[in-house]
Amino acid sequence: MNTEQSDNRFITLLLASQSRVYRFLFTLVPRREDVEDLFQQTCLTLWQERAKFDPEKGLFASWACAIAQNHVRNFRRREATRQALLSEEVAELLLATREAGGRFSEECHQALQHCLNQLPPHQRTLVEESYREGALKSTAAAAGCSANALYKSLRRIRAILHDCMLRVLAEGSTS
Amino acid sequence: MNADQAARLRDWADDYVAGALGPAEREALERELLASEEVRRFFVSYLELHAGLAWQFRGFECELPDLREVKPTRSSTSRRWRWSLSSAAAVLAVAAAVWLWPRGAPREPGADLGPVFAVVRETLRGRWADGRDARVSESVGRGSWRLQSGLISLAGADGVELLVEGPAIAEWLGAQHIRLTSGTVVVRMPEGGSGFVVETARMRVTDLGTEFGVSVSPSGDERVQVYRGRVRAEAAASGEVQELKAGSALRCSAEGELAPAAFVEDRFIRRMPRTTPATPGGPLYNRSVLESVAVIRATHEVSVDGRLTEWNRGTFFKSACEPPYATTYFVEGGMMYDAAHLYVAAHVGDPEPMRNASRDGFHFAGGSVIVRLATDRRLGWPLKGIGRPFRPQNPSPELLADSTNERVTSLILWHDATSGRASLGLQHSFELRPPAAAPIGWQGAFQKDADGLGYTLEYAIPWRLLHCESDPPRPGDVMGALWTVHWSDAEGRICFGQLTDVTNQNPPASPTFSPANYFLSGPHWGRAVFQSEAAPK
Repeated sequence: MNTEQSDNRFITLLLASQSRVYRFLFTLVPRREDVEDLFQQTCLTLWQERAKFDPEKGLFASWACAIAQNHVRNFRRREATRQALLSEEVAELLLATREAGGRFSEECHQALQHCLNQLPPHQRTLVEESYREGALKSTAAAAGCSANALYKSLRRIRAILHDCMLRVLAEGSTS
Repeated sequence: MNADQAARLRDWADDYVAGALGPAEREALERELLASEEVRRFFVSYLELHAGLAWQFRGFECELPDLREVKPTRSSTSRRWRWSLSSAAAVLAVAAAVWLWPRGAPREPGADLGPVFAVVRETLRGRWADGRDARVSESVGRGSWRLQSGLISLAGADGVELLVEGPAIAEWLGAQHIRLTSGTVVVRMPEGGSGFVVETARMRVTDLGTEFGVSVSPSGDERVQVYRGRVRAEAAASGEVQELKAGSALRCSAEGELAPAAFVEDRFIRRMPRTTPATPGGPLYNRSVLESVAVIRATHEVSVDGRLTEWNRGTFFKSACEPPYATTYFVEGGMMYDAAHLYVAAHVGDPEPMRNASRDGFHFAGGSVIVRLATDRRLGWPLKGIGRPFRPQNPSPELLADSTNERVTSLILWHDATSGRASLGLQHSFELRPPAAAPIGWQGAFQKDADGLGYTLEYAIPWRLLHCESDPPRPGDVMGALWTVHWSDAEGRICFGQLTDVTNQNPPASPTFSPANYFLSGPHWGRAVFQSEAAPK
């Protein structure tokens, strides 16, 4: 495979795995802004280190998540004084839970998609706009309600989604 | 785990994600997480929910970074990393740009050089509007892109696959979000995936775990059809929402109303054909050098049989695709008129002649000749009208009047392979409005070449159908006109290329139009010059 083919292959793999990397980061770092920063740093490192990826040695997504984890470690060192972060011990345990059986994260993701599809349109629209806008105030203003009321609605909807996810995970199927 | 503990953990998780978890709550949360795997699974699954929603609905401002630009610098006003091309990073940037940027899909002038959203996985004579062949593995990023002809398969984020049929104009708005301005696209999500959005001028279609097609015809007819799973369609104007199941379809009217439509299995191309075309592939397009076509006065009754016995072929113009396809793909066209009719004749070089099996709204794609003609002499030449997608948001009354003048007519001429008959499609104004009723009173005939490598068409169309029966063109009139020929695959479905001619050879410098879109730009149309004398045979 020449360099061009190899680079093209890299882009294809990255496109297919970026959601997994993003969600992986979200488990380890709380704030969305930090996740976005780390995600972009990870993508850059993946690109710079692309020649080191050996498909014989494992999945691209696993390699990408390992690089993402290195960035998280650096982040934790930089942000050690921030109270918002969970301790390293707890973070490691959460990671182990996430990776248990190798499929928990993916099963959660599929369950979420299934449950999202069950939401009534108005609830789905509210979730979509809130996460897309990233700012409750503007979404609330557009919806003609207070940010506090919208926040409560979102919490309720997330709880509904989460209950549904847990049910699907327990049943082991999204069919 | 009881309900109180579940609610408490969710509250803590929400605060954690919002960066608002206090020290006391954090310690309490850590104690519970350390104590129980069940709590950890609960907490992680809730974080997965947050992560999944954040990923799925990410907006413009936080996409995959443009990998050509390598040095992150912190903004003083924001915690967000900004990506800038610095001299220190020039080596890598140049190396990346060599393969990422020049090979990407063509973008609108001034379009942001954004991130990569998809790569071309397969192509069947796919060709971008700037004349380049679509290439396997080339990247498609932010900004409008135009597929002029052929069929391409795009692999996007999280395993989504898009099958795009040219001609199409689309734009990636996010990793899971495209805007389709015209053309057809079939979206296929991987098992368990959902949430891809196709936005059109009048609809927003959200997939709920499925395979579905969306089409926007040149006349603005919008349809969605579901093959697997479900989709949600929302009318932009009214906010009306409908959920569609597999085997159902709907269309959105010009007024923005959603209405059920017939499910037609083969309305969309769902799979990349595996057969190799029998004829040599290659880009089919031309460089227009003709500005005017003579419309000859008919002095004898014209018998419409496709043999052109009443025509003087010496008055025909000829236009061909670029070499090496010029001898295979070409058109020789002529026009005549009398007080009652417009006559059109053409001999088209086409190795797959008269195969058209296309679908409503896309009949041109299966092999056709389109003659566009203005018949209102007040419009003058060059025409000024512009199609809606390219008009300014607040056009002047004059521009709007010219753009919506119903005496600008597109005549779509094709041979319907299913019925074996000549067909005629009409569209009026630059809005490409279809007539209220199917046209009657016209005649058309096709003859296949003896060697099977082309066809001849002949039509007689009453001026009534061009809305000018009381004031038809007269000798000496100069009217806007444009000719387009489309070629297709052997199945008569996939547009393989086109030729556009009879065009203004000194078009306005701005805005820039691809010849494939001249039909929506009156200033680019050429002239039809109505002759006073009949040409000797």
